Amino acid sequence: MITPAFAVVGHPNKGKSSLVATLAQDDSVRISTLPGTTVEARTFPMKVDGEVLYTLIDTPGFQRAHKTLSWMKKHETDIHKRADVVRQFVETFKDTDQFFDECQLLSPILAGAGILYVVDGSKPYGSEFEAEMEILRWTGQPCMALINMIGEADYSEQWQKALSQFFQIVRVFNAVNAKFEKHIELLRAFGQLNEQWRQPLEKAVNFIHKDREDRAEQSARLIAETISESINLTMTKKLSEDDNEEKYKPELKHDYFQELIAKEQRCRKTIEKIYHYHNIDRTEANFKLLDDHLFSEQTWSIFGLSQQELIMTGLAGGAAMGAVVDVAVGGTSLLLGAGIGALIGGVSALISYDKLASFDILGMPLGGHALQIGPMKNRNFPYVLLGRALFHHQLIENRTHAMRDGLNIEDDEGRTGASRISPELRKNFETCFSKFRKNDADADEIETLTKLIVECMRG
Amino acid sequence: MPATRSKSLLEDLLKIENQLKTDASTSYELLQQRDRKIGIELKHLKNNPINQLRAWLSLTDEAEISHQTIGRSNFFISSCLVIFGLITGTSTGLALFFYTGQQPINVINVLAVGVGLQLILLLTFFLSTTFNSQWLQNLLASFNAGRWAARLAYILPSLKSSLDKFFNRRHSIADQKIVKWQTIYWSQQFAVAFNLALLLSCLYLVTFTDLAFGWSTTLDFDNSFVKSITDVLSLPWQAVFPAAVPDLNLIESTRFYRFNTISMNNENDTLTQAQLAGNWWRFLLLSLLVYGLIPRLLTLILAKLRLNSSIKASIMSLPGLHLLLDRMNNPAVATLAETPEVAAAAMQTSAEPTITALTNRQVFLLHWGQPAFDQNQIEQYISNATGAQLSGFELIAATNTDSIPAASNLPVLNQQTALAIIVKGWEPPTLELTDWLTELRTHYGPQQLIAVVAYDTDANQQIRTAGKTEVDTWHDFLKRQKLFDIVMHGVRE
Ligand SMILES: Nc1nc2c(ncn2[C@@H]2O[C@H](COP(=O)(O)OP(=O)(O)OP(=O)(O)O)[C@@H](O)[C@H]2O)c(=O)[nH]1
Ligand SMILES: [Mg+2]
Repeated sequence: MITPAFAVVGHPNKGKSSLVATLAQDDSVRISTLPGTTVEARTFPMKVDGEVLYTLIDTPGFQRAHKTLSWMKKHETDIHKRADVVRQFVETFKDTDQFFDECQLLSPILAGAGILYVVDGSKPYGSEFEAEMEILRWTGQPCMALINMIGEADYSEQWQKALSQFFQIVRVFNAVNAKFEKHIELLRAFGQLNEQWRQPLEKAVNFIHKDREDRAEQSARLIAETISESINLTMTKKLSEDDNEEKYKPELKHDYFQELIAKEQRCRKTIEKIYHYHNIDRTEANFKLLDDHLFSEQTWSIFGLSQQELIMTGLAGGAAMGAVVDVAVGGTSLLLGAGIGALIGGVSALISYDKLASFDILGMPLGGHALQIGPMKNRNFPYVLLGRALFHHQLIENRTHAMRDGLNIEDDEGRTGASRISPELRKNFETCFSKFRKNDADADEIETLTKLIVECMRG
Repeated sequence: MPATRSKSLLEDLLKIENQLKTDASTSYELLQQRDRKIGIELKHLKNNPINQLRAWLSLTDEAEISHQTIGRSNFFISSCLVIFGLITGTSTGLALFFYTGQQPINVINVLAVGVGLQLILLLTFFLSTTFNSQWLQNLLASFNAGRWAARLAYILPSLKSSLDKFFNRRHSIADQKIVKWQTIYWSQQFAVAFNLALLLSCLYLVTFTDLAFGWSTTLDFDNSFVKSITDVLSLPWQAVFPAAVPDLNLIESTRFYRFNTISMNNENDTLTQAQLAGNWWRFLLLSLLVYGLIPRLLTLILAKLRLNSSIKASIMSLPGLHLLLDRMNNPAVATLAETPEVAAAAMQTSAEPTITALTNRQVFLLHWGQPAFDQNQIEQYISNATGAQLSGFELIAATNTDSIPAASNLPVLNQQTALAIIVKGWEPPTLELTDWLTELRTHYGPQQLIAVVAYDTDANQQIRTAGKTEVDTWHDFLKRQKLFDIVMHGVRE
């Protein structure tokens, strides 16, 4: 099977690298407001089990397009030999500084790569671009123009008209903000450039699609595991005969809540890893929302269920009256804690720990006694975790690897977190969670929860 | 196929758990590469995850050394229990079958220990395996030889830490079951050893010494009652070994009382009586086998099976395990660049735009590239923004090679005049412009004022001053291209 390659070319600073970063899902690509960020051509092979299905090539922008074109015109002999002139140009200048960028970007095209010409449709068209387009036309390779919208203004119509003079296909594609479905569409469209490329691209697209679904499912499983572990988390301190358990309580509490926080962090890190994100800027507005302390009142009111929703869910799930009372006591509004802030340090308005998990003295398998904290009996707790995890996953999933700053997720009807889950689905969650609370859950239960979470993710 | 695989499933559980923990800090791409490679090699095990994982473990072999100790502790505890079981079994056998020649061996004793006690212990086994009540578990724990041995092993510092780790693993419910079934398994090892030794010592004594059996009790048992008991006990082998079922005659003739021996019952028939008395042995051996050893072998097997299945369940619920299976069994889709990127030079300056330089000067305008607005609008903008008097020069658009004016075709300038290169602020400067600016500088000499003025277009497609980012970019570019004496003009707050 033939392996198509695509060289992403254009004027400097038009979003070439952004396009490549998004399509190759690689957040290590350098992207900046400065022109001349990309200094060398760089290949991004798309491989399945080592077999390359297509290759993307990021290139530096044109620097001396007019001079290049006039050199070529001078050396032109025959219209059907223009590609040879381009080749001759690259041969002549490849080791010089003068046309370094041009040689970098033309070489892969001469080697057979298709052309993806990127322009910024939010800025007016100018005839100075014609030199670049003319050079590309001289190579005789299949080509597509992509109108990228960097700013707010819309000049795409002028661009469309001008570009269609030079390119087989012209499409609008937002390199930074495009949704995943759009990536897939675009990759498919590459196949229209050349009949022989269609099949490998189709194959690649199917793998990328499947891979994406797998990642969502893996994330769901991680979230399910984390919730189950967090609900069941207990910590024990072995007591000797004459120990007073009171003296161990503060430290045990501290460790316990830190561990819950750490579990959540690990889950997020892993999900980011699954989606190939390594350099997320944590100061983005949405991430800041998640950065809020797991046990802060705000977190609970944003991500958990309201007291009323909890009661509804409890009743719908067939819980007894006792559960309702439990909810009333453990619900968010009563959870303003005192004296706990000092424990974790610097965080105000933490909800009361004692309402969340209690201490117990228990016998050890080999004799002796231990002080135990946990498991977490609070009914809202799993929803808070779930709500936060879903939100985080949504942030990651809707991101592209070209983003270097925040992305805003609109609340649907002002609701975030677990409140977004339909009452129908919530009932099923409750069944799962109550099993976890009874410490009665096994791998099958995790499986069930995973499926529920996947359902939530799909919306 | 992997050459080495550790035999202990439990050890593999701990190793897999450990490896997964190590992996948590490795990059996804590396893990994918490693695991998919192994996964392809182990494709035949795809439907048998436990075996696939164990094979995977032997192929990753990073944490080979650790966790050997749980195997050692396990071996130590098992050996202690087996040895202890053999010793107590043998001594119990010797004690039960202790024959002085004075008095026959009391069958009731043998049955009490070899059958009665065994049945009681079996009952506790079933209670502890079927009911989960904490109270019951604690009570029964005291009968559990495995726990005692584990406590004993705890005393040894070299085993303590591995046991600690093992007993405190409480990740999933399966882990609690592992501890339960492991201790039960240990106690079944003891029980099998005990019963085996008891049976063998009995067999030994029967074979190599001449024993006489009788039965005796203070209780008011009559012969037919004893007969019914032995009949019930013999039910399992009645059909196969009728000779091992005591008949009424045997029972009647072998009853004895503390103060007389069998031989005193009937002095004339000593030999037959003695032979009769010896006849009990078949029954006793089979009782020990059927009620002692065999059930224990069965419980040992059961405990092993349950232990293994809870270890497997625990493996399957290890955090990160499904990710691993996915990595092995799903095609590895890779899209990343294979080589790291070369960094461009960093931005060097921030803009220090000059407003005054062009004020009241006569300025000639040259536009780089195709103007985005018509000439009037641009001239209007320039004179407003710079306060320059625009001379009647045309706006020259450098849009293609031919239209870039050669320096020699440009107007003659003097100290009072200036040249302003108008650029579209959003279009990044290119080396082609550098070339031209350099050419202009050479042509006009170092004294001539040459400025770059950028403009921008707003959302309504109206002309406006270029923003800070663009101006910074241009300014940085001019410096980088060593065109220090070219002034950058215009900034939008
Ligand atoms: N909002 C928005 N910004 C974009 C988009 N595409 C590119 N940008 C921004 O435009 C700038 C340039 O993007 P790059 O991807 O570095 O452009 P490039 O063509 O690779 O630039 P060079 O490598 O310097 O030639 C960056 O600041 C991007 O964030 C887009 O679709 N939307
Ligand atoms: Mg770039």
